[in-house]
Amino acid sequence: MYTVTKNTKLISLVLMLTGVFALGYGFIKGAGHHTDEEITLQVTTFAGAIAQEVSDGVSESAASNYASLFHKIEDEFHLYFSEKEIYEAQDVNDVVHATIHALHAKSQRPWSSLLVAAIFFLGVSLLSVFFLALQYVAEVGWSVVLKRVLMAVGTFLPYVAVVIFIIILTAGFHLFGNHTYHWMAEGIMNPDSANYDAIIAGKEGYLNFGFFFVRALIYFAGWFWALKKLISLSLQEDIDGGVGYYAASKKVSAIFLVFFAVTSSMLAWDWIMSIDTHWFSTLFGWYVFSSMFVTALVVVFMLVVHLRNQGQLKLVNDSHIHDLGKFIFAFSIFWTYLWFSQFMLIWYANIPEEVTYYIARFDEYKVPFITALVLNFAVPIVMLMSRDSKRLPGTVITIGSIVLVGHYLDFFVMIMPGTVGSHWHIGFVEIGTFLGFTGLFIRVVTKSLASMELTPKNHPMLKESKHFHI
Amino acid sequence: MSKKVIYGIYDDDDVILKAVKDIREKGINIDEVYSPFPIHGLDHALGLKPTRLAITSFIYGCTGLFLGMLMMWYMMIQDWPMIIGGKPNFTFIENLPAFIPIGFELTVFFAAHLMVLTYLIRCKLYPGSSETSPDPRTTDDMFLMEIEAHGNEAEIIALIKETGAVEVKEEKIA
Repeated sequence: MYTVTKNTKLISLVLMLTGVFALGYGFIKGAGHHTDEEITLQVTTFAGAIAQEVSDGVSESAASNYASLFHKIEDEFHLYFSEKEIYEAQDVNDVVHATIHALHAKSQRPWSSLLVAAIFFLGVSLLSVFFLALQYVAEVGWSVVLKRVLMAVGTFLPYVAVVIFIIILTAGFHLFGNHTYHWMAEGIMNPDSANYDAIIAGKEGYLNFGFFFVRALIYFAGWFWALKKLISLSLQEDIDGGVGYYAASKKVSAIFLVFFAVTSSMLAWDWIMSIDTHWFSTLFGWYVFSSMFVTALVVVFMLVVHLRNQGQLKLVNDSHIHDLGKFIFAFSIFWTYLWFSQFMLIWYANIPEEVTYYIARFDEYKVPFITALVLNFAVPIVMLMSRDSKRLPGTVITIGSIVLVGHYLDFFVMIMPGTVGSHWHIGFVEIGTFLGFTGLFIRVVTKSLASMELTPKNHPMLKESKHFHI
Repeated sequence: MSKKVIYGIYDDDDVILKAVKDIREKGINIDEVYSPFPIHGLDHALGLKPTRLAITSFIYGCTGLFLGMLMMWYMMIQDWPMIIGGKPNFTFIENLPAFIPIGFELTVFFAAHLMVLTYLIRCKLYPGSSETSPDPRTTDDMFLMEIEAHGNEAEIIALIKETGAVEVKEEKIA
């Protein structure tokens, strides 16, 4: 039986506190609500003062690019403007607009970093359940000794659900500066409003808050039902034995996989793709799925190796390690395949409404965007290609850690451009939020690992898994 | 001095796998095993070196990728530049996304085909090659072990019988 050590508890607590501090810091920094009218008044006052100075001859011409006006605003509101924004401003209205945008981005930043971390850990826990269900439906023998780890990782789902619902609700009711979803903006679907957007209004049938909220409820209910059912069947099997529980698990898994096939795409549309409301991509769901699957496999791999080093999971041998390594390798390439499939079609067709998505990423997110591609493709394909490297837990964990960073950046580049635009950072708020989530994950998962026997006792294919050799 | 080859014929894959291990433990080298299907763990038991086929496959794949890219550069940039979809036709790098599928296909094509050919040649399975198995029953339901004897025939025959062979044959070779 696995027990959670004091050190593990301490580490997770420290990480969670870091997360709370980071989020708190982000919210306090982003707070101090200025209404749009206040900002307009402030900016026009500054503009008037500068014009006065120029006409009085106190200072030289402020030139046409409003650079000095922007600098004054930067000092006043503690903002930072990119050169592009400064260069592109044509009149005072543009400056006002840029300022409002920058202030929104500032209060949006902790929300976006929370969403990135939530999606990352949603991937870890949900795709573990997917992998578990896959083992039942495909009647896989080798993975039996890993099944309890997959179940334990899945138990993080409700915690992700809480965070996702907090984000959805605060965004829907416009609380605490949460502007994650553009289509939730007030008046955007109302033809009489100044905010009206005909294209977004055309999507109202799917993108409306009521349906959006109910969908999220249905997703989590379905996923969690399947996980609970699989865990209870497996634990009951330990007591009673027989093949009946296996057959029942197979049925639950088959239902889950059909449900998951639809909802895995829909979660990506709902929680990620709808951020860039105008834009859409038909394979986006699978792209997100592949990113999440690699993440989940790496985390499961790390947990398995950790437990083995702790003297648990004694039946896990090098062949199990090898096969998990193969999954990480294969799905890293699958991710690249989907990344490229999405990119190449949009690049080739070059239709303005599609290509804006990549222009935003190449212009303002070049470093994380390209880094993610290198870390998620080049590193695993080169380093994990040979048989020997996949059999060395240390090597796979090193490469896996790099890949995890890559997939964090991947989710980052999916979510940030549509929420904070050019005002992105990877600083204390983002990293701290992620670490906080990691702490919670460690706490929850080790607790559920400690709550059950790590090797299923009466699984019909336990013997096959025990003697697994490749 | 004439050499002798001894064949031990078995009728079960698990038995011959165990026999291989036991005989090799006695310090006797087994030259070859003929079997109707691959036996899991036999290569390890025979002490064979790991295959180098994967290395050739990697080299073939790289060749395919290089040739694919060279072909596309020559066709689309050098010899007959064409404007497709308004993409620049004078630099390779700007057109690279369009060439990646071709590079990928040729990587797979070269790696797969050349690897199969290499395998067949290494197994001496080219046109005109003759059968090497000393007993045709190894293509049906029998497993055969081949040991070259250097004056210790009696010991080898005893060992083979002891490990569960159903038949032992002796043959002289020049």
